[in-house]
Amino acid sequence: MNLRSLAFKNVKHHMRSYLAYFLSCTFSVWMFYLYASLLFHPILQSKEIPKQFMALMFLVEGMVGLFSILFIGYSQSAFLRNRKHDLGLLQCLGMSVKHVTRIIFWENMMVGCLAIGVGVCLGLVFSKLFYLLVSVVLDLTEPISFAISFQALGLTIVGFLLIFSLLSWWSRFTIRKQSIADLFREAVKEKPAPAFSTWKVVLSLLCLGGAYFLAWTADLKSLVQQFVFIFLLVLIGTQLLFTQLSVAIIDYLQKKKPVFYHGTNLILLSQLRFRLKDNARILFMVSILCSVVLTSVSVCFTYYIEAEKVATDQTPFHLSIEGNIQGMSPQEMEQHFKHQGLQVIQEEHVPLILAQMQKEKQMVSLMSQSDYQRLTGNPATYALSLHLGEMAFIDSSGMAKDKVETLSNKRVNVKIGDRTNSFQLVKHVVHRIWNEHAKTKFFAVVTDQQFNQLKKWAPDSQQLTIHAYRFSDWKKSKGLVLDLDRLAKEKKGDAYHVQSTYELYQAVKEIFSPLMFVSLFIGVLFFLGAGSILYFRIFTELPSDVKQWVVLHKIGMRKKEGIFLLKAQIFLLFSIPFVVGICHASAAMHMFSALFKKPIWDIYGMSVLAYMVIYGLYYGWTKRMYMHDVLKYVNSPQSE
Amino acid sequence: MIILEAKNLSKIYGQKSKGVTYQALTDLYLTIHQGEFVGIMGPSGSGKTTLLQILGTIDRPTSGEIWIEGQNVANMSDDELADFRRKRLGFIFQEFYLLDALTLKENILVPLVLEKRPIAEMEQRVNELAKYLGIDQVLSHRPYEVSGGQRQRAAAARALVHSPALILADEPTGNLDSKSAKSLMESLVQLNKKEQSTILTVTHDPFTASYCDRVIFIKDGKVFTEIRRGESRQAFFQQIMQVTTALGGESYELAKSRF
Repeated sequence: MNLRSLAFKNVKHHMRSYLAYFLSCTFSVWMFYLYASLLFHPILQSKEIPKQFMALMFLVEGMVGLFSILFIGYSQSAFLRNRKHDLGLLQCLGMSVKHVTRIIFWENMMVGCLAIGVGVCLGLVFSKLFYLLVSVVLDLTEPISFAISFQALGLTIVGFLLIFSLLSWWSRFTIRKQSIADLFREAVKEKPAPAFSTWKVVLSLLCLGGAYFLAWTADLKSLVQQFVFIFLLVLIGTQLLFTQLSVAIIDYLQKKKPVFYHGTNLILLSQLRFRLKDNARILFMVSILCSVVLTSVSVCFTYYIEAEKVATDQTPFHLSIEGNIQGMSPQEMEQHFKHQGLQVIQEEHVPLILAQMQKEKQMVSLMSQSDYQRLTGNPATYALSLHLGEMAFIDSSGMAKDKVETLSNKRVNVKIGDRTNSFQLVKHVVHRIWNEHAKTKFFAVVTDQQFNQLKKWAPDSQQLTIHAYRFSDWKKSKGLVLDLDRLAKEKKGDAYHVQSTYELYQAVKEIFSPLMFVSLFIGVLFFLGAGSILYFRIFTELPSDVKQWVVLHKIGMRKKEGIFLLKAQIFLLFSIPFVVGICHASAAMHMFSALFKKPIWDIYGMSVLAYMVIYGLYYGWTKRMYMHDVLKYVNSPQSE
Repeated sequence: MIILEAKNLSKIYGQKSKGVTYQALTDLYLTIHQGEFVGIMGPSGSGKTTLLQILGTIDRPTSGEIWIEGQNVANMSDDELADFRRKRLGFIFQEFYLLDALTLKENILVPLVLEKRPIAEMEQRVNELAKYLGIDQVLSHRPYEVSGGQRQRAAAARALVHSPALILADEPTGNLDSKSAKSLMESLVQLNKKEQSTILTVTHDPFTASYCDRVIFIKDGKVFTEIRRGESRQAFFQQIMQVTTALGGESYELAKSRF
């Protein structure tokens, strides 16, 4: 027997606890290879693949790599911690540190090589399917052809071999640092009962409550400002939730004698107190991962699927032009529409006056009340009835929630030409009424009479017409929009003057389809990583659970009760972070749904369901394996 | 009143079909009356532990009957046995087997809590026993915070807390130093008298055995002989020593120095 065969025996013996780690490594290798093969694919030379998509692919590749390093590093150090007693014994028997590290190295390399082999094979098998998916997402006319890239193969194999060997080489430092006595003691060292401090519990509740409140009341404007703050609050709150609040809740239940002194509750709660705190870091990471993954997947998915709705919401007119495109009169424009086969169902030509606001030193566009009324259409909510000398301010940016506010005692002085007029500001309306141009985002409404008067005073340079059109089928307007964009750029150098539904639709799709694609894969990767860390943590408790089972069995615990105790613990360890993640993600989704005019729970619900299935399968598998092992040890004669 | 009666008890390990079998117990008879403190001794491999496990319903005999309080435990299902152990049996183990996550008090309470008894009754019973065993000051500590002797006392309290018909102890002093062993055995004897509980202990230590009323020696899975205690424990100890030597076990010279 040499060191290698000893390592092999070790791997075989610890197979169960290595299994989840192995599967996650395999999955990482698999993903890494898929993305690498795309990065090295000859189709990259073609122009059909958007640049942003490739950038995203690089990003994903980097993330998979980084995730693998962190995950493998964490898992290896966890294995090491779990086996300190073993290693101490080997050293005690006269093995040098060099030999011990060599055993560890061989063990890691065996698992690692197998994972690389299986992962690459899976990658090869599934790459065709993956390419097909990419082609669909990118709307490619011709699907990407299958090709085995030796560069990708080399990068994956060499890269992961390096990760595995470097990280296992690293373990020598951990081992060398400790004396044999320390290694022995590690296994028997007892932990004091986890405690909590009241102010930290309060802080946790405040943080979470505050974050949820902010997220619940946020609109798009405050969202951008407060996003980082909310995220920090959630991080702190969740961390304290697992280290403090969990202990506090269990402590409370333990003080309630009728609950605590009732059957298996006594043992379950006492054990949970230790296990929740022991695993606080893992639970924290898993719940944050859960919420980030769920949120990003559903947001990307929603935008992708609802790109049409977003586009029509944000650009009520299918085409809107600020001012005139030089050399193109409205008549010529209509010719253009006919030429493109577009049927106009509504057209608006709205004159605006640019006025200088005196106090604010800002330009404001003025509109007549009748134009405003026509643009808003029927709903009486946004209707205005202004009197002479009154003015209403309209926010049509779509950044804030719709509302109508009545103001009083606010005067605004505006300068047109060289005359100054004073207005009483009576209303503030937030409502998207037309497409966004530099001069239509915010504007003011005055009575028709005053508008006409001001128009006479205003010099030509302070007058402007917005041309807005609705077509029977805006999806056909691609050619027209591209033409106009080109023209606008040539003549005025600013494409902002042409705002169309089609462009926005295209932009949203272009951003979110690859994002959706990427977040989906990364999400699965993270979930599997989180699951396998939990799996491993649960398996480290096997000896103590077996011991407990044997004792309680002798005292007279029914088998059913014993199974319940174990299952309940595994269930809670898996479900608590998931539930916390879902709560966080729901709040985040509420926040993001401010962007849409309606809540977007259906897609969120679907992604929660999908991940719940993946996670549930992982849970079921872990439970089965664990119960099987516990029962095997319990029924073996040595345990008696 | 007879608490326990074992008739014709046999235990064979391994399967006959595989050809490798080992007979741990052969046609063993045993009767224990209420309030008795009985020791079982024998050399290694004599079947002591097997016997205790079978009497404790943790293992089933290959053949034979066991009657505890007039019930034949051989006919019970696993769940019935679990209930029976919980209600009518108490266990003390060499390794204490306390649950690390629980305080001593909670450990002692486990049998009552599994039974879902009224809380007031539980509290009263624990306090009473703890005071008696001298561990009332450390009830809120966890097992690893107290000494081995205190742990074994807590384990003893757990075995007694539900007033079982029979307490089975497997080398209760095996992991204790001589001073703790002595005081534990003295407490057990007192509890045996006070609560009229029936205790059956397996041990290979003549000193521990000398606290019993009666010691049964088994050899090769059969009862070899039994001796009863007279007035003096010292004399009883000498008697036990003689039988163990006769049985061919190790010599217990050193144990004498404890007196």
